[in-house]
Amino acid sequence: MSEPTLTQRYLSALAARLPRRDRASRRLLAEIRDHFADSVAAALAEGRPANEAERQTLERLGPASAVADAWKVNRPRALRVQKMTVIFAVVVVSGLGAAQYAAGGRDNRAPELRPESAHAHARCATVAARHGAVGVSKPAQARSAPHRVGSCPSSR
Amino acid sequence: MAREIFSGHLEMLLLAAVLAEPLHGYAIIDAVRTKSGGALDYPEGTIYPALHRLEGEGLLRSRWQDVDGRRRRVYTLTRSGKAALSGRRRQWERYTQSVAAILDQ
Repeated sequence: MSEPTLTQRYLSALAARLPRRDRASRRLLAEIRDHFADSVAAALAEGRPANEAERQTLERLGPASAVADAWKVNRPRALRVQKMTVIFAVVVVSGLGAAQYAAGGRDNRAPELRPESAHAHARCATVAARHGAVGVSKPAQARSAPHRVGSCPSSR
Repeated sequence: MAREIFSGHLEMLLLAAVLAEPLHGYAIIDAVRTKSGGALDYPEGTIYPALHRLEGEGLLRSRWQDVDGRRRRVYTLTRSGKAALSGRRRQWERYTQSVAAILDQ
């Protein structure tokens, strides 16, 4: 197995200082790798020997630690905010899901669509009949005052 | 000395480099180094994080693109980037005029 080149050692040193599994840092590594290729090619085109071309490229790039430090300082704020937003959204959705599960599956249907609403209408019709009122228990009236479902609207 | 001068204005130089046409990282660095007569005495590897930040701020946008048969990340100046560059250019002109006025007296 051949010994790693200066370029490979530099890229390994930089990769070790960047967050793993991070798309942005992988992109940075890819760009630095491209930079190496371009810079070495340019130096070779100027007539420099290969080892000299690679050494000059390394010098111009600066230490891997400096690049990693610059990365930490300059890491795009938008990406950090995006990451935090996703984490926050996951926590909120998980919390809501857990709360709903704990409540035993609440009925989210509109009040007039719930089964107990029909029961309430029937009960109110009976009450209305007793008081001689007509039409007080119409579903339309119950819909206009959905918060009263379960109790009879007052008779006029 | 050059590094101190450039460090405060690096963003402006990077934005200016892609004003005329979209460029990949090495081409941006090469353009700034060449046009400054080699005065950009700055570790080139640290330019990439700066480019990423400018992109994060919406002043640049980038995408992978084939350039000379190779896949490169190419940076383009956005509308916000053009506005930011104009603002920094005005600041720079005011600054140099002020310094020149003092030096020339």
